[in-house]
Amino acid sequence: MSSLILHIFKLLKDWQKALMFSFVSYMVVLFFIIVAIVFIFTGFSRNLPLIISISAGYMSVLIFTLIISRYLFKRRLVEQ
Amino acid sequence: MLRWYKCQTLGPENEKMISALLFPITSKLSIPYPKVYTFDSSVPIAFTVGVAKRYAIVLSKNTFDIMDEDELKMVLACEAAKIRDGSVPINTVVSLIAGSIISMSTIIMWMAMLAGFGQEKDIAPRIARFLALGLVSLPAALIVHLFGVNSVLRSDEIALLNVKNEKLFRETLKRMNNYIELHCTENFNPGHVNIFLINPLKVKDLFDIYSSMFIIKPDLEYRIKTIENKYG
Repeated sequence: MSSLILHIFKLLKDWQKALMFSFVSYMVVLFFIIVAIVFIFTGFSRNLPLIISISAGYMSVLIFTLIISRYLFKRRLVEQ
Repeated sequence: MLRWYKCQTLGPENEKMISALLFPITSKLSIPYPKVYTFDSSVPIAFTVGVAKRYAIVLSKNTFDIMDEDELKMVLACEAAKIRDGSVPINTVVSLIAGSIISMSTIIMWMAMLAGFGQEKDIAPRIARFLALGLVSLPAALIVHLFGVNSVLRSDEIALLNVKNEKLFRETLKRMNNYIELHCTENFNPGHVNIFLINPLKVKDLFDIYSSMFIIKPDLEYRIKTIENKYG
């Protein structure tokens, strides 16, 4: 399994890897937002609708931005 | 941008030489005479900034050490061609904004270091910077891609029409590029890639991976081939 992941990772171009790591970074931010909500409003299951709506909004904006970025990068970036 | 790179005015000797080289170029292109500055760098590199018809050509100190007079003339011609082309003001603003966004990752790395996660070369601050770069690189790259003007091929053509020496053009750019590939020790801000004559960004390891989102300047081989096809 790990060799397959490594193989796929090697197949990716540098800018695709950069986008992937960027996505991971934004997911870390989302994680901390959820943690903050849980601590501020005390409780996870009680605030589930709020967490889901924030996560859905955040993810949709992020994925939309990533799609635009992918389109732009594919057209304009120069491979080294 | 001049403050960013701690630019300094030229010494009297270099100023005399540069004005002798630059004045004929600017009069031929009918552009305002730009101020010329230098900055410290390990590599020969040049860029042009400016808005509202006040331009500045900036050459690294290494350019004066490594390049001869003809090569310097070619570099100046390439930079003056960018002014003639009209891409300098927008690229200056884009570089300033994108560069400032990218710099936030350095602030986060310093915060990690001050919080006791180790020194600059240690893994913890580097991971903090890597994650921060992941956050800031995407909007910065989008700004560069959406608003930056990539006019390298056009300005190459203008420069060559001015100097009329294709061999010199090829050799100068190749020399600069080789020197950057072999001796570059500093990390250039990826947000500034648009303003440089030669792309100084290299993806050496995983920590440099975000630079790959900013490389929109055509490869040097492609630039030379395009010129050769037109004038060769």
